[in-house]
Amino acid sequence: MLQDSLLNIKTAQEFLYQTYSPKMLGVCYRYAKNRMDAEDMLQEGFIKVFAQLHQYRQEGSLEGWIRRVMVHTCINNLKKNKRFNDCVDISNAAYLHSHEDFIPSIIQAKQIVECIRSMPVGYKTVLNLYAIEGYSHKEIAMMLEIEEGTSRSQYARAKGMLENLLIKKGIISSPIKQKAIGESNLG
Amino acid sequence: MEHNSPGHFEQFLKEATADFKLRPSLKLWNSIYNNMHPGRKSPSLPTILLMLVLILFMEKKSNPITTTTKNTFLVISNISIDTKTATLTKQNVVSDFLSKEKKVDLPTRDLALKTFVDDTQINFETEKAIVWTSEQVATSIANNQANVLANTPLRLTNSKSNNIPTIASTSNQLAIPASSKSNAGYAYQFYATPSVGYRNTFRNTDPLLALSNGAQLPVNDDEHVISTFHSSSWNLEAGGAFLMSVSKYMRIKAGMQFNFSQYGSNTNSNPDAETLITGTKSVNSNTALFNATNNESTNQKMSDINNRSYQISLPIGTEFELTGNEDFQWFAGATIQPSYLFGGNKIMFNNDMNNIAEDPSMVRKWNINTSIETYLSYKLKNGAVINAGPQLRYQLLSTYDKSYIYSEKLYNFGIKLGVTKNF
Repeated sequence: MLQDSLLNIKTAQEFLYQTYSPKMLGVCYRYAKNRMDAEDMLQEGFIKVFAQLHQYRQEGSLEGWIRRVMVHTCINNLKKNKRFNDCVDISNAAYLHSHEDFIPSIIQAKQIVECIRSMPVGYKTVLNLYAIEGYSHKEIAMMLEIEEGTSRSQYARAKGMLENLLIKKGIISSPIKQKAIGESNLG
Repeated sequence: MEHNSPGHFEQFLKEATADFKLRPSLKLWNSIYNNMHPGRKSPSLPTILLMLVLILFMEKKSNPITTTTKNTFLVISNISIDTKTATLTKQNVVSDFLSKEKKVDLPTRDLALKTFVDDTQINFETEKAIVWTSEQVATSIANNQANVLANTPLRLTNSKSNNIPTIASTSNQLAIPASSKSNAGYAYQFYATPSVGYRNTFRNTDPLLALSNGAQLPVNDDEHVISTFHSSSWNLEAGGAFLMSVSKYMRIKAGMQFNFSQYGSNTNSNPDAETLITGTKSVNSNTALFNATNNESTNQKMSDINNRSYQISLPIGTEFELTGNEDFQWFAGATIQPSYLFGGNKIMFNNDMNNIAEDPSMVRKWNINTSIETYLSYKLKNGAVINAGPQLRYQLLSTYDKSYIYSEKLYNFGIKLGVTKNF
């Protein structure tokens, strides 16, 4: 599939797209304001994937490589649209609550994702990059063109906000701490 | 990329979101592919139709030989004619004068000389005739004016002194007699199209599934499952149209027709169970619901259901004559059809295509269909023309409201049979 995609064979490229696009749209959805924006990011991301596919050196999985391209595309898209300006001061975080009407699904993963999406852009971006994608604060600072200390403090606030949201939603019963063997964090 | 050391919170989020997926809209891949290969787009059907119309209009404009009047004859006569009262018959006409002389290069196929030998009578009160006397023709040839003869249009004028028509030229076009083909002016047409119909189905949104007891229905995207349960069925279209010629080879048409569309489905049904269907809108709990489960131990029965619709359409379009002679002609055409759904039973399927229900509020009343066709026509002795040929009809908008997870576009392919008669 990889070789044929590099040769611009349409069926191979379409197969690669069909294989990875559902998960990658899930990735983009965590960064985007809405589904339409997420699909825009996905489209832009896959165009870059196919354009840069020759740079994939087969070190690590193809999915991981595509995911990194997708995350960078999302970040660039947010920076381009200046979406980082609406960060919320921690003193106001208590008044930020989730809106019941835009979280329609009962599926837990989607509820968690919706909780992440309900946070301000700056918080959720840092949270996505650190907690889920596994970037360090130093790398995040470089990507977002902020100070490393800012990344750490944003993450701490985002984590606290998300825990409150998850508790309100009943997804977890208490803030996630060091857990004993066999103990569950889920509500 | 350096990896941070995940704590429990990070681990929890990673695990929770690891398999989170969303299905992209179907058009997204086309956008990506067209962006990567910008030169490979093929023109859409409306663009192709527009190009065909432009080509034919240019052909009409560049053709210097036109006729706008029916029954225009070029007559070579060896006697003087009273143009108001004369009735020209075979005996009056030197029908093969020009061919014998062979000095004049005229398009002979449309000349009334040939028509005239069938004893056609010309009524000068209602029909236009361009009449030359043989002397006039001879004079022109003698004066080496064969090109004038060929290229000078003639207007019939009355000369009161001797009733001999004189030649008056005003431009460089030769008015040749009208073709005896029947595609001049206006016509009406009746037709019926028995066909086989089916549908294209596309997924719109992510499925949001739940049963009232909190259990979840499985997501099933397998098109094979869909095709196993659904089948094509016979359809019918019948209607009438008015046609108007806009050029020698093209005519436009407008009319009204009735459309009956259906395709078959069969599904397990268990009336005791209940299920939600789809999307962002819940089905009214009073709606008749059927449920299919994968549990074969339940009391299940197969129901054959025909997904039917009755429509009234207003087809508007064009037809082009591709080739032909007086009796046989080959046409191709296309129409766009605003349509109104006035009846039927539209069954809706849930995500795994095993459960069905009806919700008329989610069915679109107004729609747009398009059709392309080609047919052969044969002219009967009484002047009527019978037509027969294949037609493909396709629905452009979904049968259902946007809130339903599936888009459905019906299509059918059949043989169109019709009768056309000029006014």
